[in-house]
Parts: sequence; structure tokens; C-alpha cells
Amino acid sequence: MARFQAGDSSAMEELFARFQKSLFNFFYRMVGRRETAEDLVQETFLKLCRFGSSFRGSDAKFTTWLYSVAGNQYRDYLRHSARRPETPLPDLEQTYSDGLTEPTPDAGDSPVEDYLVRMELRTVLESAIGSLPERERLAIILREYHGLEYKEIAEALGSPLGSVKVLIFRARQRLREKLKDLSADGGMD
Amino acid sequence: MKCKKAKILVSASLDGELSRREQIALQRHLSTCAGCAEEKAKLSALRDAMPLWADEEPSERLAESFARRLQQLQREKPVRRGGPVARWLLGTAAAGAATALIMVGFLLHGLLVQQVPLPAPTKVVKPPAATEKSAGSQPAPKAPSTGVSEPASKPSVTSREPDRVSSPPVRERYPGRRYFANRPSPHGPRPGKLASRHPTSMAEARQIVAAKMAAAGIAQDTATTQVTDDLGEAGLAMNETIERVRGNLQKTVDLIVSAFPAPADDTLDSNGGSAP
Repeated sequence: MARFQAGDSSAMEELFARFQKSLFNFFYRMVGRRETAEDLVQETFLKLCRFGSSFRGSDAKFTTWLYSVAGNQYRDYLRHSARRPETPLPDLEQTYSDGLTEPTPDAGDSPVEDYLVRMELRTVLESAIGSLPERERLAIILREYHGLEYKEIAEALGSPLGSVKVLIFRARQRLREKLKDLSADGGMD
Repeated sequence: MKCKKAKILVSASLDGELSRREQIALQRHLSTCAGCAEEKAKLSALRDAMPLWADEEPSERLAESFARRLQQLQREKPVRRGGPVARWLLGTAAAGAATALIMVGFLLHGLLVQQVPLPAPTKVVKPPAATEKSAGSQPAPKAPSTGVSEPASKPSVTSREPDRVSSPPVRERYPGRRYFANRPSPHGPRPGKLASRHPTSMAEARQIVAAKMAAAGIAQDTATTQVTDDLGEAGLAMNETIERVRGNLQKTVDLIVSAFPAPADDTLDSNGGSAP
């Protein structure tokens, strides 16, 4: 980022190559649609180009600043689209009423069955995360999938540290409620 | 500790976000509360399930598309150095400094660069007719204590005729005036020609203003003397002001430059995470 601020425009392409995957997955988990997530990744980096000079490397980590900009980009997207994620993930009860076998972590006896179980678990997990309130979803995604510390999440969300603790706790409680029927060994019920 | 707070701390403990004191308090509570201990086991199981939603790869077109948009953006608006605040401050300071210097220059030109009458030629051979004509003309007011002698009469056309002036060398007549020194007039000095000087003391400023008033035919009385003093003080004050403005402008520019240093380095690591 320092190189870009010094006028090296190729530095932004290197930053993009380095962070596009993590930022894509951040948006994908937030909006649930690949094409929209890729658009948001590009918009976020173009915003970095326009306002990159405001980044003070000595005051904040780049990743914290990046996810802060990404969070604002996501909120802009919600305002302009005036809707929730484009592919709302199915409600769990509806999923099981459609005849799906209730998955369990050790249900499969073969690698294929195990793979199918894991895929179904993943689908349910996506659905559960997608159903979380926006700020809880942001906080739990930044914590679980991007490894940000609570302090960094607080900066990215513009919230106090105590609020971040509560947001993540509530997100986990909601997820546990959503997933409680999935656990065969009783770990989550 | 109440269970409500203990459950929040259980969640934070899974992320290693508890202080030593909180850890001890939570351990004490979990040892006596089966419900919260069970909550910890459930949240741990949930956390183990989170990696099921693994990262995905973006499409290969994403990087190409971004490169195109980046080039388009750079064509529209070249990348600039420095922060917007720094650029605004520097631009404003530069514009303000230029404006201030121009204004002060005009003021100084009007107030400090007083036109002082030059000394009359030591010997001027004038035609009798011209002498008689000038004798009947209005006598010029005397410039008191200027140290610069005013011509006895208004210069006539004939007084400027060439080769009738026996004058000392140019440098002796006009010390410090390189303009005249380098370009001596073949006609000798013109008695009515005024020279410019910068005052360096109150007495000198008063002399210059008094000479100017005398040249303009303004009588010296109490009121005009006061005006003379006021103008002289104003001129000196302006001299001091411009020096102070120069110093302050330099200090301001130095302050701005030191306040917005370029960042030494970024803090990125190789896999998209944050450096410790």
C-alpha cells in the first residue's frame, strides 16, 4: 500500500492478486451469489485506488482497513439493491421437510457418503449464517473465516469492543439453534 | 458471575479474547455451573463445524476484469501522491502565500518606495530667458530636514538641454542607484526626476514622506507633520510585517511537510491475513 501511495500503480494489481480470494469469500458469504461477490470485490479495490491515500499504515493494519472498506461497500450494496442477499438460503425446517435425510457428521460409511454428508452440512451451515442479522453475520464471518481479532472487528464495524463480544456470542447462539438438529452426538443440542 | 455474562465470556474464550482475570473468573463459574459448562461444549462443537464452509476460488476473469477497470480509472484520474488533506493544506498555503506576497508587494510599493527628489545639478547653465521664466514661476516648497535638496524652481524645458550640465560622475550623484549608474543619461540628471528609496529608520521615513509632501506643494504644519509621522510608522511597520509573514510562511510549510510524512511500509502478510 505504501508503494501505491508513493505513485506505483502496479502495486494495486499486486494487492488485488494477494487479497482477491479472501475478499471474494467475504462477499460471497455475505451476499450468497458469486457474480455479485466478484463485482463487490472490484468495487472495493477501485475504492481503495480512489481513497488509498487516506490509509495510514502506522495507525492500522491494512487488512483491518480493507475489511472496513469492504463492510461499507456491502452496506452500500444493500442500500442500492434495497434487498437482502440475492439467494436467501433455505430455512432449515423447509430443507428437511422436503425429504432430505437428516445429516450427521459420521453418517457416511464410505468416502462418497461422507462427502455427501459434509456437503449437506455445509449447505445447512450456509443457510444458517445467511439467516443471521447483518451485523452478527459480519462479525462472525470476520472472526471465523478471516481470523480478525475482536479489536480489529470493532474497528471494521465501528463498534465498541464489548459490542463485538456480544455480537459474536449471539451469532453463535443463533447458529447453534439452527444447527441443533444436525448433531448426532448431541454436541450442539 | 451471572450465567448471562459467563456465556458471553465462554464464547470469547474460544477465540482467546479473555484477559487473565476474566479467565480465572470464568473457570471459577464453570466449576460450579453445569449449564454454562454445557454451553461451552456446544459452542466448541459449533466452532468445529464452521470450517465446513470452506473458501472458494473466484473466477479467473475477475483479475482480468479488474485490470481493465483499473487502467480505465487511471486514464480518467492519474494517481496522485499525498493525502487529500495534505494536498488541500499545501495548495491553500501556497495560494495564500502568493496572494499575501502580492498584496504586501503592492502596499510596499505604494507606501515604502517613496519617490525622492534628486539633487539638482551642481552647475546648470541656463539661457537667460529660461531663467527669467523660471524666476517668475511658483517657488517650490522647501523640504525640511530631508537632506535632499529640492530644485529651486520647477524644471523648464530648456534646463534639460544637453551638454549644458557640468555634473559629477554618475555614481557620486546617485549612490546606490545602479539603474542610473549603468545607464548614465547623456543629458545629465533631470532636476524633476524622482528616485526611489526604502526607509530603514523612523527618521529616514519621516524625511522621505516630508520630501514627497514638499514636492507636492503641501505645506508642513502640525496636522501634516502628524500625517508624516503616521505614514513613516506605517511604512516601517509594513517592513517588519513582510519579514514576519515570510518567516511564518516558511514555518507553516515546514510544519505541513513534517505533519504528512510518507508511510514507511505496509503491514501485509502473504496470505491475506494481518501481520503481527
